[in-house]
Amino acid sequence: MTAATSRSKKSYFFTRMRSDLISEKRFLTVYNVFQIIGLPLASLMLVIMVDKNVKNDDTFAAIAYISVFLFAIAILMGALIARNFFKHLYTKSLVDMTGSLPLTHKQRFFADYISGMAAYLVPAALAMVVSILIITIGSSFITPYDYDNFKDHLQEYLPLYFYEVVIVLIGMLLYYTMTVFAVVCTGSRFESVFASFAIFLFIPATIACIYILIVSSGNIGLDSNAVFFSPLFTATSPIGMVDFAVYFATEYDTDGSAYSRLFINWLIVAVIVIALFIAGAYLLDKHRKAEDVSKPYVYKSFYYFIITCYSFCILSLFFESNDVPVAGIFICGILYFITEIISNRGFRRIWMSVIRYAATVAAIFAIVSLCKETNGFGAAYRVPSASSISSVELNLDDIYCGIYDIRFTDKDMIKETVKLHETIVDRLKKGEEKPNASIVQQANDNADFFKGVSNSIRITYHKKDGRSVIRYYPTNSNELAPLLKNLYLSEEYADRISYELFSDILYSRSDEKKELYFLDTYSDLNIDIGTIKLTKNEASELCKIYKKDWKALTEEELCSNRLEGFIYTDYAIFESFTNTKSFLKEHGITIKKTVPSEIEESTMFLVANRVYSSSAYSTYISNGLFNESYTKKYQLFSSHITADPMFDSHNNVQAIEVSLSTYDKEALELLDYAVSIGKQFVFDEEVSGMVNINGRTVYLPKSAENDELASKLEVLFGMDISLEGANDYYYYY
Amino acid sequence: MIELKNTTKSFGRFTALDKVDLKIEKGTAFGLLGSNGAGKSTILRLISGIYRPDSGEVLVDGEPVYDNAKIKERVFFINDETVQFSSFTLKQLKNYYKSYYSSFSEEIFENLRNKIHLPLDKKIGNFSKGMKRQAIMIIGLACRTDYLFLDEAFDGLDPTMRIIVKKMLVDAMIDRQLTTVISSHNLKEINEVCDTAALLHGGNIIFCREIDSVKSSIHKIQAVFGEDSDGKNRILTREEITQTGLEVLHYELSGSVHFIIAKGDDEMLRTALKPYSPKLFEIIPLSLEEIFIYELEVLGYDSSDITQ
Repeated sequence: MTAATSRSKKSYFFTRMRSDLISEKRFLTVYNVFQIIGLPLASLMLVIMVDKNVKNDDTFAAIAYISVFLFAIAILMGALIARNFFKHLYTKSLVDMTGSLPLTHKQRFFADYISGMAAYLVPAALAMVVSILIITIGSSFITPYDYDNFKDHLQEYLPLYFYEVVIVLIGMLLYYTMTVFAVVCTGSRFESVFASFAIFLFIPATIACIYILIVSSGNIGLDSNAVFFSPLFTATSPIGMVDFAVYFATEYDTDGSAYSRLFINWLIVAVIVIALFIAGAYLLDKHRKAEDVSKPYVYKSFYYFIITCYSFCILSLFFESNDVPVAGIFICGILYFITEIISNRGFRRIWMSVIRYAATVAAIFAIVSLCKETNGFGAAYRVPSASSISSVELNLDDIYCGIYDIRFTDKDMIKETVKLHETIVDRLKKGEEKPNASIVQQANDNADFFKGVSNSIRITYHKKDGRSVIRYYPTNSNELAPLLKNLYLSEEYADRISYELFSDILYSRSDEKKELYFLDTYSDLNIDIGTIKLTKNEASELCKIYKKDWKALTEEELCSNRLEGFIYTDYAIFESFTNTKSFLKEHGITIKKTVPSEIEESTMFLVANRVYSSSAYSTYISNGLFNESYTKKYQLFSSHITADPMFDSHNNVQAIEVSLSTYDKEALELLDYAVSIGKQFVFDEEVSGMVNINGRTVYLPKSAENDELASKLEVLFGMDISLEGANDYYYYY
Repeated sequence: MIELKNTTKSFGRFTALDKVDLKIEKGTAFGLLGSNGAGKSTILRLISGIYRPDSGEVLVDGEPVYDNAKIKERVFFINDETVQFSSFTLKQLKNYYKSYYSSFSEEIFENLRNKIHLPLDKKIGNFSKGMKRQAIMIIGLACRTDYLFLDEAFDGLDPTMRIIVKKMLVDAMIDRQLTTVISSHNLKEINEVCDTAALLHGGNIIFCREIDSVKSSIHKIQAVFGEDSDGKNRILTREEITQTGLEVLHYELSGSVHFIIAKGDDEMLRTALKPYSPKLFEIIPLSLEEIFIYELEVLGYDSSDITQ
């Protein structure tokens, strides 16, 4: 009697999968329980808590937190699943049992890999889909506190949930695959655990350290976003993928297309990275010898990769702060030798470790020096061509109207951005104003004209080939002025600002049931003009009109003193915005420029030439230093900072102490005059001074007359200087 | 047929097998003998397809066994450990192997299990060492492979169970021409079960022959030789005996009594020593264990250093 005929390859593969899953039945049961009571239960609690009829929120919140914690534990169990499905690689007693089975390496590897992956990902995917179903279906059975917002939110963010599900699943897959890779490269239980954690940590840490060391110290214009949001970081490690999941959720915009591109770019890199890890793990497993089990590292090169990565991470931090980091070399050396002793299971050939460590230090020092000397291999001065760019995203401290970032596709705007980039690069090449972080901070504290705009800029080029280039530079308003002027006059800015206005209106709901929204209006100097209620359709109509007016705005008007008022203190209404003004007039609001003498029950905050403004205004209000009786007349106060003399490219502004005071009529009339001739928008013009009233700044255009006016104002209001340290005092009449 | 052709296998700097050639014919019961670290287990793992040879070929039925699922389905290997089965019950372990070996016979499994009364649903971890070996042995036999390889086959079995297991093996060999390769330090059992054996030492094969042939080719001689010119019994040195053409494995002298272990059959030994007119000449057959000891002694694998 002989053995029966052999089976097909497919049969062996599924046989192995089946026996793998049966062998790990108990462990997988625990994992599935964690998944079932993880995210779905948390989602259920979330839906219940949104219901306004439900009391005892704390209990539900506690259950939700526990459920999320269990979900996190379940995700972390991926490393254990990978280790369990490949335990024959580090468990000596299983080598013969597994190795003698009628399987090829390929069948065994992929059966183990796929069964582990399926056991890990399928319950997680189901749990996430069930969670979304609970939220979407469950929400129709409850009465939320704010029904419309809740409904809108669900509709807007549902695609995001699906994106996030895919991101989390891809992250889990990478986490699982990297663990498999580490297990294949090691032969003992301890090293397989250590190596897994090492690659999870040291791959992103090494990338981060490259940033810290090369990019930051070389001042080559790559900011943290260029690294932490680049696929190099976000798609190469589970930590990076968590970073991407958070980044994607916070940056997600419901208009969509830009973010789907961002997602697809990331997904492509992530899939390639995972495929490389799978291919690497398979090839290494194929060439791995059965007898290598119990060796700490089956592939020494993998061990050297880990040890070099963490040496690089430690040493680069020390090299960053010190040219010859003796302490760093010493500390890193201790850790290096401890790892060597553990890996060699003793002091065998320790002299080789000494040589290896010396070579590692020398190599890292050489790389660091080379990067510093070459300004990041020329990356500092690389500016993409305008023709290769499909869109540009700008991030500034504040653009206007609370917009911190804007994305545009307009070719002229792209050219203008590239031009600005080239200007900055030219400046850096000359070694001029190569500000380090502290100077940036000072510059921020002491913004030039067009206050509040920015002293730094992050430019993200989205190229036609799908790649992104991100650069960050310290800058000043002079450098930014031409770009900003073009930006404000662009159609895309008009689209964006009207979109923001509509969003703000929707956030100002007046009534839960009626679809009415508050609309606040202000004069050019922040004097409250009045509030009206609009329906959603009216709000939409206003935004369309407002967009039309912005698109018709001319450069001449933008740069002149024709700003008449604001919606919500942020959305400028220029003299030429006739459609917007008509709309408001129909609703009982007349927008007109503030006559300085009308400023009665308000607080003024003066800053003349050589006097610097700060946020003292709001601080004083919140501290209750003003009461009604004192606001019957002008309350004028000046604010200064007692820090060291500040950097300022225009006027050598000096910092002085915060204080407040009141002034005589003559002084106030002079101030009224200054306000009447001041401009709210200044781009690259020189100015004689600036006045800040009610949180709104106006600038005195540069002229001899205005220089004199500024000097008078300084003399009249400069008395505050004598009240240095007297923050608690105030005068009035 | 199993063939090792010029096969070398090293572990780091240690060469476990050094250019070994070996043939195991189908249907034989083959014993692997040898000192510790001689390469017996390495051969078993090579022919099971667990180890990949560094050089040379390892063939089963003419095909390389390594990474060859088709061939490996005809091979079952039982190693000297049982800890790997601890988390299984016998039923689970049976189902595990049954899923890989399409020729698995439930009938054989049940028959054998009933003979040794092993519980089906008890964790194997709770079995005694002997029961664990019985468990894997009946599964190995129930898989009905063409080849069965056993490393330290009878380790942990009580005498009664050894007989039962040996009977199971012999029955399978008779019933279906099962080829068995057994490595064991228990030479008595090899002697009882195997028809052919190879002796390994230091990664080399010292001999590979039928056991009967091995046993008839080495003998122990007790001899007292005739008087010399001084009237005393003649004392032959080891060199003098070697000069007669005998291959001497062991030589001892007690008074005038020579104890010699030499290769050769009865007639050859008598002919070689006849010129020295032996007064006493007795040829005693050696056990396999004694052959093992004396063969290895020649190669310097000697316990005398320790006893001194």
